[in-house]
Amino acid sequence: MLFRNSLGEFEEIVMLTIGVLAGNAYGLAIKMEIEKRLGRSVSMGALHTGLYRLEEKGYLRSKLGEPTKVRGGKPKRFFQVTAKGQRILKEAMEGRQQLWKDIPDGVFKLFPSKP
Amino acid sequence: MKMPPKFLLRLMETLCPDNRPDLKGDFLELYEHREETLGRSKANRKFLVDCLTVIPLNFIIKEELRSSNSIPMLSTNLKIARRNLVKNKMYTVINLLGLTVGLTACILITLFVRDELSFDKHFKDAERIFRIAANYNQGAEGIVASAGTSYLIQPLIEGNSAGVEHTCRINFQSDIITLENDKQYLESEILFADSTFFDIFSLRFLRGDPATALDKPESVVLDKLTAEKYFGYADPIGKFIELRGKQFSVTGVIEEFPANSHFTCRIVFPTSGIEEFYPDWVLKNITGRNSYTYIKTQEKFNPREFANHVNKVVGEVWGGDRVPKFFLQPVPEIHLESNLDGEIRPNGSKTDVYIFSAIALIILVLACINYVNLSMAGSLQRSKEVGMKKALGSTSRMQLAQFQTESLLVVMTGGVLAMFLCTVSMPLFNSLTGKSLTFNLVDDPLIITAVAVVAIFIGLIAGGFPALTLLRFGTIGLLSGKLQFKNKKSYFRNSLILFQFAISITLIASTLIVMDQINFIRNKELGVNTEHLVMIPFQTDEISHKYELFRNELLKKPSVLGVSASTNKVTARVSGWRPYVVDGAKEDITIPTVDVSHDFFENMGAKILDGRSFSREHKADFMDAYILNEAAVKSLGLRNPVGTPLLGYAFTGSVWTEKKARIIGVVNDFHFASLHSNVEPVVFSLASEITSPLSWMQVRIKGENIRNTIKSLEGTWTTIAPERPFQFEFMDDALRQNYYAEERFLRLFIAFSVLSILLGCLGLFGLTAFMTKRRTKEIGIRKILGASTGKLIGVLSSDFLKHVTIANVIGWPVAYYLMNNWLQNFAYQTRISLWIFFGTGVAALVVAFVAVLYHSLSASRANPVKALRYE
Repeated sequence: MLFRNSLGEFEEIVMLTIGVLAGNAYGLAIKMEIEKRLGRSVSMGALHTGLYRLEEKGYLRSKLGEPTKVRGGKPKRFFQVTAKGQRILKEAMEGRQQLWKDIPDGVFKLFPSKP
Repeated sequence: MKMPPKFLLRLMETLCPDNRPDLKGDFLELYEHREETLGRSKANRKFLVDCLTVIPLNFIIKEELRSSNSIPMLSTNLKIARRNLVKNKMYTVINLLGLTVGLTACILITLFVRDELSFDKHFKDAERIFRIAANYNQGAEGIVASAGTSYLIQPLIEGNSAGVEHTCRINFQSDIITLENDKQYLESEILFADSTFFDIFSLRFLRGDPATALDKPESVVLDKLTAEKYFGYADPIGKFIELRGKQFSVTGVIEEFPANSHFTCRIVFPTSGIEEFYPDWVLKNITGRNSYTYIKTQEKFNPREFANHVNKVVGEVWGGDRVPKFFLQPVPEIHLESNLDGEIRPNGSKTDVYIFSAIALIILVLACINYVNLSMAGSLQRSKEVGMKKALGSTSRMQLAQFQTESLLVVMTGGVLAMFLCTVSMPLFNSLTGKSLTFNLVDDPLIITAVAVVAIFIGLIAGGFPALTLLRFGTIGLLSGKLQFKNKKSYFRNSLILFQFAISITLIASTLIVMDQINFIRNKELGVNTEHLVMIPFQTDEISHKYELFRNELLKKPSVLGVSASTNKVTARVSGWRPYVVDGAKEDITIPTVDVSHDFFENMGAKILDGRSFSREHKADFMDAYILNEAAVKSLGLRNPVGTPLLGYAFTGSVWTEKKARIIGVVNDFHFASLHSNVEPVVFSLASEITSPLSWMQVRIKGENIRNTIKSLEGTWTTIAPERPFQFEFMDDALRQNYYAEERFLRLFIAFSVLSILLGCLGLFGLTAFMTKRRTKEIGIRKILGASTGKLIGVLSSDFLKHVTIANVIGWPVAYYLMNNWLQNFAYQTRISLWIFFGTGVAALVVAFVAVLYHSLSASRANPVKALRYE
């Protein structure tokens, strides 16, 4: 997967949310958390496709939980961000911070770029 | 816990990828959550939308599976498929046999139907070519729709009608062609046609120019085969051939006339060159029907307006109230839809095309049903395999692939075998249908594609059914081996058997009725003796005048029993409708007239019921005698016909004369033509100078040594009339020709109903094999408890026989309804007897029982201990 090193915005949000949820990051929880925090709706298909892709790229790792009586006897799949994933998140964050930093004074009138 | 409705659950199961159980869990959890907060209906709706959003995920995941795993999986699938097929040899053979036969029948019928539908469509702008036909009013109820028209119609419309590009008359002849080296050939496919012929009917010219080929009166166009026959491989252009003493030079060579046309020909002479050969009545008589008139129209054309125009123009010339009503027939429709008097050759029938298409479809469905049924039953044996795979983590998609690989393998093999079988059986099929079809895969990619598509379709469905059925059971259920299909399932299977047998029974009963009708027609008293009667056409008026000479010469031969002649071919529909007035009546009645020689009735074997026959002793008979058939007596409404004066007309072909005469006798009704129609009224009159010339001679010969007799007849002909070739027909053969369509129909019908019942039995045979295997233990226990072999057979077969009986009840009325409709084609119908239905029912039961018997017998004879140990 040579050219898939860049992160999409949605992917970044998903990975960060997994971090926020710590040990309890399974599909539905992630969806609800994003919806709650960012106020945007996330479709099941999009989320799971994203999760699948991220795992395929090696940014996420997942583990099936034990099946329980609830959820129709189906297990949960818990996600974790891998080291590689964390690195790419950090890179993305730093890249952006650098961009913010380099905006000359007075260009963003509403939000001065340097605090 | 709240669960979404069943159908949504099922939708989710299908749409979510198999290897993501957590996704399904998420769905259910979310549903529960939504159900609490939003209410049931809203939750349902959102659930549905969410289901749809996961569809793309399937593709992403599948893509990965395929790229990583599919080739090794395919080879494993194939290996397991092969092992399975080899292990269940009988099952494989039955399936292959059924599919092969079914597909073969289907391909053959498709070829037949396609050929029937393709008639005349190969001509360029075929939809702009029409034939002019007409309804001829014969007075009384006699309206005859005829394909033939007068030679004189074409000049009336030529250049005188809007929207018409070309007009052309054609006329068929058979005659002797003489080459320059004095070699003679009898040609039966000669066409006399106007020079516009090739403008209307586009044919490919190998040599010469279609636009000018028939322009000169002394030109002639040959087809490739005839040109090669005459001149070998030398260039035929400019060479001369001779017809009736006149030289014609070859101006063109055409490809062979396509067989799927409503007429064909090998040699085309221009009308301008042969007009001198036509007798007077053709050239002058506007009521003649010897020509066929075709037109090619412009793009914009209104057939009705044109017909009105023709009727008006002809009416002006013709006058009187019995002007024929002309109408147009689009040429591409003639073969399947036109059935007029005087068609150029027997046409097809749309009904036949429908019936055979239906049969093809039915046979295909039967083969499919069989196959699905058998694979369903067979799959029960494999529950353990499926269960084990499932336990080891195989997805249902992979299992489905396994089953489908197997069925595709079988169906594809079946398809290949079917194509092979088609190639082999083509000559047989051609002799059944009287066509000359070819089965060529290279030229005909459509068929191979169609077969492939159908095969893949059957394969996927037949493989999918059992796999999906099995996968519904839980892993444990599959592994425990205690599978029982629920009752609902066996209803499905049983109704398939029912359906299959109902179709077979309908077909068999229908076949028997068709056979019965044809036998009825063949054996019906025709009123005359049709055996060993040779019919010889005189061909020209000159030869016709030598009738007495022929008669004297022929009667000298010991093998000739009688000689007579008539103006009518005795196996053709009567024509020559003339008005007759009974003494004292005001109105005339039109009745067909046949002029005959002395001894006609005696020679034909007809019976004089009242009065006497024409006699040589009564010289006055020439001018003063009519003989009527019973139908004519009835139609004239006579009580005591003999002695009644009757006013009629005689016609020599150019001159009409009044003929006042008395009725001297009444002859029994005998059939001219076929039993499709009733016996028509006929007035017989003795041939003389004032009647039209005799055109057919009937020679009654002895039953032995027919070949030699015919040779000696030919010898007499060549000494008396060397200028024309000797032609003859046997009356019984000619009559049979009338039922050609029915006989062909019957032959095909028999072949395909036998096939269908065979397929049904094959299916039943296979199915019992599995059913008895499944009931091995039950049989063992029954046996130990003292059941006899007969009892066991009863137990095992009663189920199937019950279905066959019900199938009878469905099949009988259907067959009755269909065949009753078919019989309406005949004026004389056989009665549909109950015995046919009973016979069919009993036969179907017996055949089904025999199919079941083999397995039930072997099961009930087996050692019960073995049966009980069987797992």
